Amino acid sequence: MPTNLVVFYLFALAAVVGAAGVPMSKNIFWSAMGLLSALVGVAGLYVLLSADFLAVTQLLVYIGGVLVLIIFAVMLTSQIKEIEVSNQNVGLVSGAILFALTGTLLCFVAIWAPWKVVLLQSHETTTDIGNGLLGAWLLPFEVTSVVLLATLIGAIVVARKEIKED
Amino acid sequence: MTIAAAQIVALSPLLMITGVGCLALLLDTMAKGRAPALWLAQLGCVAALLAVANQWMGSGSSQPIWSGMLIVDRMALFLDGVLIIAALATLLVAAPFMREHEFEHGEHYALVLFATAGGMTVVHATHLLSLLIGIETMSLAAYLLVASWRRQPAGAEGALKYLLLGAFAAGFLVYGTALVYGTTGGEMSYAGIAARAARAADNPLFIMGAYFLLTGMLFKIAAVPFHMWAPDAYEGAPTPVTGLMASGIKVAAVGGLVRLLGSAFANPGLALGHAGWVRVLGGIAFATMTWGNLAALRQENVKRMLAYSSIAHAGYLMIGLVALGQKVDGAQPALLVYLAAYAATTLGVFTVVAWVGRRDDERLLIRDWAGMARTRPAVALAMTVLLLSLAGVPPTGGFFGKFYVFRAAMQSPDLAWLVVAAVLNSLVSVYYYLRIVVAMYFRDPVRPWQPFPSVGMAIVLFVTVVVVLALGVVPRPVVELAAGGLVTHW
Amino acid sequence: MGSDYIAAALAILTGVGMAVVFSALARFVGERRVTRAKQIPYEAGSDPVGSPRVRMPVRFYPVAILFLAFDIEVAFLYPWAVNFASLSCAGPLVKGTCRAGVSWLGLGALALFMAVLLVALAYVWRKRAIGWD
Repeated sequence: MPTNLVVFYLFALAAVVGAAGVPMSKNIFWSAMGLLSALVGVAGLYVLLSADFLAVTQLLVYIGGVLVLIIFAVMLTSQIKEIEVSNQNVGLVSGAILFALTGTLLCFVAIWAPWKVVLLQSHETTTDIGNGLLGAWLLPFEVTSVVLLATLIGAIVVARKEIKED
Repeated sequence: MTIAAAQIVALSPLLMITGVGCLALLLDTMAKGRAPALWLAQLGCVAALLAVANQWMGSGSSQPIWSGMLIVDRMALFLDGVLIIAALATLLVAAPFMREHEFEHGEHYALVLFATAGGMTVVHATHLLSLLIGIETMSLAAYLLVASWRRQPAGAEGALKYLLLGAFAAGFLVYGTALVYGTTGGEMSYAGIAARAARAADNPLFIMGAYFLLTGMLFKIAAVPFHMWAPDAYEGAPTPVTGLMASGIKVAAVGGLVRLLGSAFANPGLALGHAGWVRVLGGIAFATMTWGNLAALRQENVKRMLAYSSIAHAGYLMIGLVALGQKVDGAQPALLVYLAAYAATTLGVFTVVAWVGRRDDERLLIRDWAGMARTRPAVALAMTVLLLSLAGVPPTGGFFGKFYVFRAAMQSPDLAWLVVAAVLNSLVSVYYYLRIVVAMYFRDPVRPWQPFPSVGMAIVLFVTVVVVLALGVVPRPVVELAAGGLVTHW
Repeated sequence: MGSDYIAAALAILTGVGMAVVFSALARFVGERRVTRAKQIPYEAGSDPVGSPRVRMPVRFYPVAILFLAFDIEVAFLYPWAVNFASLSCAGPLVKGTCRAGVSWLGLGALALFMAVLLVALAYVWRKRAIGWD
């Protein structure tokens, strides 16, 4: 088996096992760790697909930001050692049915689909993305700043009482 | 790449709404009190309306601009107008509502404008990327508006459900976009997708992508079975925000669907039998209106009942979408008339719901409305007119909206069953709308009424009732406006 | 592909490997003499009072969210910064130099993006969300 394939399956395994661990783990802290594994796995897959900018962004934003935020939330809401079983509602039956349905559908489509095999040429993608963002996609790019602004307002509005009692 | 001045002028309503939103936010942090930010936001809405009117007069461009991201055609401008008026009405109602319930905050006004800007991006979008960003801007602001009523525990619950399911829907949209992009050889503009759809349709990944996009959008208009968030979010949100969600946000999402299904996936040969998504959407429309109406029958809480009623209306609206997919002439203007009438009615109804409650007594149950006609005859009369419009009784705008949509659908023999089902559904819906009317007029009040005076609410209520009646009595002007708003095929 | 990343993979492996190897060496090879002084968290400091595992004040949370939002903003800045030379040239670059005069489009597009986020910063500032009391 070529090295690439081995590495691919390693990352894919990390992503899938981690993702499965998020809902299945009873301890919310381990769920967060599962998420870490899933995110790292996906970042690795991005690297294998020559999407270097995406991989770095994944590390920067998801692992460096979102995950820290989630672990923060865990630490804010409970004492880190004695975390209670916070994930009681597993919903096994409905979850299994949904999983079986979507899993079958996705596998079926993946096998049925005529995939086009293209040899990847590794090159730096940051330039292309920059040209896209500030060229053809300029308008969505600018609107994105409004999304970020709304997010910030949300952080303040939702956390208001804790910041300033008025 | 260069930017022509015309490109910026074409965006002027959107830029005004966004810019005024930013300014209102800043002004709120600097000025004393909430009034300056509110006035600025309202002025911004009026200015944007004028800009829309200006575009409408001079509109000749039917080509996508900004590298195929957006189009400024009559349909988009028509819906822009509806969205901005919905935002203006929400602002007028929200200010006294928040004062009464003591959770005033100036961010509210900015968020209403950002949600509107997102909605405007959605109805203009001719590219999956701008659609996605527009949907996200709109939804994010809406989640926050729902969550902003901090004292209300139901608000947090509703906002959380809305956020989680909304994020799930966004996942569907992104996944669908990726699949369509991959299988059409890198196309995300509607025109590009339409050009390559016939070839790409052999690929199951493309079909799946198209259905994922449809699923994501159906979440946003709260179609069965993707409606679970709606009753809780509608109930928990501050009532003016509920009005905005039921009117502006639903109008924007339907407008986005009209454009997406009318251009990118207009090819009828797409998958699942000869009718493709048209057949699937027909089934969903049936399920949505039936489920919404049956569930509304059992509600005691007025806001929840109206939430289910709004789900049912999503079902009627989807009949128009199905007719559009069947290439029925006139399906699209009919949808636009319906959307305008529905938005006006909903805004009025939620204004009344916001107006009846006091800080310590929200009066959300139907029996709390007993005897309202004695102390507030004008409001009760307005509510009756608006409820009749929701039920689709002439001579109201709701009747004509339904009439046009159903008439368009009847032109396709495949859709006769759907129209029959919709008419039966409308009959069922009369029952629960009339429950409120009966309570208002024929029951003795359980508690004394203590109305609070509000000019803003009175204005919105008066205008919506006038619009609804005008649409019912002389629908022609709006019908002609809407007929000028045909999706331009390029 | 892949050869570019071999170095990165090696660096990661070396980093993780060294940590694992040294911990293992300390555990299995090293000699242990447990005394009370070594068991307390700060060998040279004062004795700890109470458990370190307390709930964090919720004030940290808005700060973390604000960090995240600006983190995303930074992620958007990278592709712009990489392309700054070509974006501020009115024509295509010729061998890395601009012959066609200055275009303000690249800078202007980003200035607008940043302006909206400056609104956010000003708002956060005025609402005293980044202060501590």
